[in-house]
Amino acid sequence: MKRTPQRSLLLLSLLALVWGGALAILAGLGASFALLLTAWGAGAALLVSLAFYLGLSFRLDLLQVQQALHEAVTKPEATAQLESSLTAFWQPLIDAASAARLPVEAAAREKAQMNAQFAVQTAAQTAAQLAALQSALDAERTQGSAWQRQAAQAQAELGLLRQQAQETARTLERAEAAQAALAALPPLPEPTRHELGAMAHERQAALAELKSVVVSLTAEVQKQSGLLATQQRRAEQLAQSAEALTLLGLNLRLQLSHLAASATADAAVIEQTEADLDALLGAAARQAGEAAVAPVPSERPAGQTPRADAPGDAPSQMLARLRDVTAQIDAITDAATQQDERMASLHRQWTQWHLAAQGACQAIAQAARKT
Amino acid sequence: MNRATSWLQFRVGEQFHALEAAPVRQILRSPNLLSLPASQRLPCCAGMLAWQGRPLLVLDLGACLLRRPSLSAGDARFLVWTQAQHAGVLAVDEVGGLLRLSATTLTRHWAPARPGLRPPWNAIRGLLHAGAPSLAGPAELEPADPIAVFDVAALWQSCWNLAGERR
Repeated sequence: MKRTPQRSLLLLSLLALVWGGALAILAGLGASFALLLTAWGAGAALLVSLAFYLGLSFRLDLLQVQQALHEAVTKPEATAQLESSLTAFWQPLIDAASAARLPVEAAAREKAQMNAQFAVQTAAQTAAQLAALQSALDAERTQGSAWQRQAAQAQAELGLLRQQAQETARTLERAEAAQAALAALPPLPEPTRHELGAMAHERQAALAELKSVVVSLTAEVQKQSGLLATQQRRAEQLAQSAEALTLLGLNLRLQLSHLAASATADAAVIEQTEADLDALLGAAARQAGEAAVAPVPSERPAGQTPRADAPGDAPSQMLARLRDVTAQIDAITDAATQQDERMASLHRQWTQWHLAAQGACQAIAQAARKT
Repeated sequence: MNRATSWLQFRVGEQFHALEAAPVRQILRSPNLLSLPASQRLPCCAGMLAWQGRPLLVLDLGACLLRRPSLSAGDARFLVWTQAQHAGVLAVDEVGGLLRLSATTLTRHWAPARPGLRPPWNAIRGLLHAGAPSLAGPAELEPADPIAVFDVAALWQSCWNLAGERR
């Protein structure tokens, strides 16, 4: 039988009745006072101890009920075991507490569900915000890199502009220096040009006069050369005649020697004839030798160089020299003409270049100043 | 040799020689020569020459003596010689004058050649050395130059034999 508060109170009441009845019995029986006091003291002590015990057990039951209520919330599966250890006296309290706790739990669950939904929504919103923030951060980074590139490009353009500015400054300095140099240049030598033209005319006239002289001299030498060639042909014919005469004389001399060898020949006459013939041969040989001193150019052996003092070669050499001189005069005239033309062209180019350089320097200086 | 002997001077290359004038019949210049077959292989045989109705063989003395043809100079002289039944023509570079020396002079300036010379130089009969007076006017001989005097028939035969050997 389980202990309940009612039963405990009933037990205490029964024991008090038993104690009072026992005392009444003893007092009726005339028991001594000491005995009565002892019985009263023992009975009172026993009741007080029992009351104290019951109070403690009641306190223990309240603690168990409180634990059961608490476990009903936290561990519903362990509630039945705990309730089995309690008496039914406490069950209504437990049920009432459970009944009162259900709406609270529902509210708590609803609140928890709402809190969970709110947390989910909050997490989604946070994630969306984070994604937006991430995309914004990426965009910011992209924009930052673009800005960095633009900054680098701007830096490079700035450097280029600085370089251009420096170059422009240098160009301006050069243009100013060139302009100063051009300004310091002497004016175009117009008188010198006229003098050059006059000198060129004088030179051309002198060359023409020289050429006419050389041409007339060439004609004269050709004429003399023709005469000399005629004389040379005659001399050649004479030399050939002398040679033929020498050969004839030598053959005659041979025949005379043969005749002198005969016994019937008149030795004195033959010797006189041989002497006359030897004199004739000597004269012919000398003439042939003199003619051989000036050989005809056509008969000159190959490889033999013409003698400088040969009268037959002098006109041809002089003609060759005159032709060379004429060719040299023509070449000099052509060269002088080309040089005059080149000088005139250079003068024109110099003038054009001077004007163009001045204009270019001024334009460069103006452009550099504008820059 | 009481009578004077005549020699005809001639030049071959840079050498002046002479041969006895008695066999020489005529000196020709630029005659018509008939070339022989294969004359390129026989430089000594210059060709054939018609002289007084007789065909004569022309030997180039420059080619025989100095291996340098006299006909190559273009102004050669042709010496026609006859002796007994033999006749021929020798082509030389140039012909000088006649040398006629008396027997007395000849004994002073004559040096006979020693035998044993190689042909055609074995045709040399002797040397006229320095100091030999020239009787002919146009003879151009330096007094210090010795002149080899050839026998024309022997020279001809030696040249002919030499041409045959080279053939």
